Amino acid sequence: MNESQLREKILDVVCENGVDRQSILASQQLAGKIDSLKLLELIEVLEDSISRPIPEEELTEDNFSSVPVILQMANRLAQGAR
Amino acid sequence: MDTTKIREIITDHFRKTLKTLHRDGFVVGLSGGIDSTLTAHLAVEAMGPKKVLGVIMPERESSPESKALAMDLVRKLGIEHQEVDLTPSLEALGAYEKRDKVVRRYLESYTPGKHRVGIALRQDLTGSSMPPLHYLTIEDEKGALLLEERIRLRDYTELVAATNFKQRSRAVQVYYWADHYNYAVLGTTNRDELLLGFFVKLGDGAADVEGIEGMYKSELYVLAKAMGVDQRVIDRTPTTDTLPGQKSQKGYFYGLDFNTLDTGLQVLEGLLTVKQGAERTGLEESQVKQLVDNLKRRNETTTILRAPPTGIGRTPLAQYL
Repeated sequence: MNESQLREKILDVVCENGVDRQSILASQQLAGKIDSLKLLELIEVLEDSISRPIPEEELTEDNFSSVPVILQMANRLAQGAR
Repeated sequence: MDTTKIREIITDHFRKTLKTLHRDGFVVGLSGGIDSTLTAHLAVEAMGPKKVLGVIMPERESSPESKALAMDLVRKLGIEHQEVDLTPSLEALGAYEKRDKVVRRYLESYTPGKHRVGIALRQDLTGSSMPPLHYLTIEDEKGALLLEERIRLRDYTELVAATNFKQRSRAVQVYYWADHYNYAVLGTTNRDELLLGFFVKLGDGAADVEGIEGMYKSELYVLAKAMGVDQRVIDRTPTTDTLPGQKSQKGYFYGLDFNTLDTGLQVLEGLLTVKQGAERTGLEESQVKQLVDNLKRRNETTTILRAPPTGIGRTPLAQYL
């Protein structure tokens, strides 16, 4: 899965209930906009994309603050696995 | 807190509502916890002991202490009671089996009766906007933690669905006895549970009349003391008694003490300012704001639990044509 596909997947999860995709892309505090079940789903999407579990210490507010930041984390973890 | 006034308001509400509902008394499910115990006390104060029926519903995983305290309450209040063992109906529904199937995905050697399962929520409610993460916990018979692992979404919802059989089976029983005696079911949901969705829709949330849903958990303790509730019930760690390894409601409530949680809810409901919330809890104002934001989100995401069935209204469709 490339970065663009992952971005779309993230937006699919977060915007499932009619949330505007542009507002989510612009959001700088994404963690405050999703509930716990969405967070679980989002983590699973990321884990599937990088084919490994996300370490507990990475599950922070900072790492989930916006879509670009989430993508950065996914890239970093994917590279670390190689 | 004017406990005399509160007692008057609630008991008056009970008497008036019962009349409106054309029922002869109240049924209350007794768990040995503070919510149901206090509700039973209030019902007896409103109607007298002859118009209140307690239903005690143990099952193979519930704490023996729950049943013992409920029985002591029945004797103390002088009310009639029915005891129903829910184990056979839960077995028939596959409640244990469905749950255990999920748990074995995490620990193959999991043995019900020997190991105790629980769900822990982790969240820094006053310091972060990150929603809670859910962890499956498994303890051995001595209480030593064998596993604590983040649970996958579908496993979590499957586990919750299976566990909710317990609350819904309790509701089936209290409604059976309510119909049997032409009584109304008294709910035991408190304000914390109501606002944060810590109840099961059509389970412990099923009731004809609510008594304490206007009261925050910390207020219940004050009222319980004033009404002479058994000190063992007051001192007991609150538990939902649904998962054997779920030691306390505090785990569900993000590890917060009830004073902090209730203060946050009072700010959310506009009863206190952020500044007053900070003074009461010793938190920084920014922490109180964060707490309130998190509680607000939790309240919003649990709307479905409080909502009546959505439709286009209980009016003839012709009105819309």
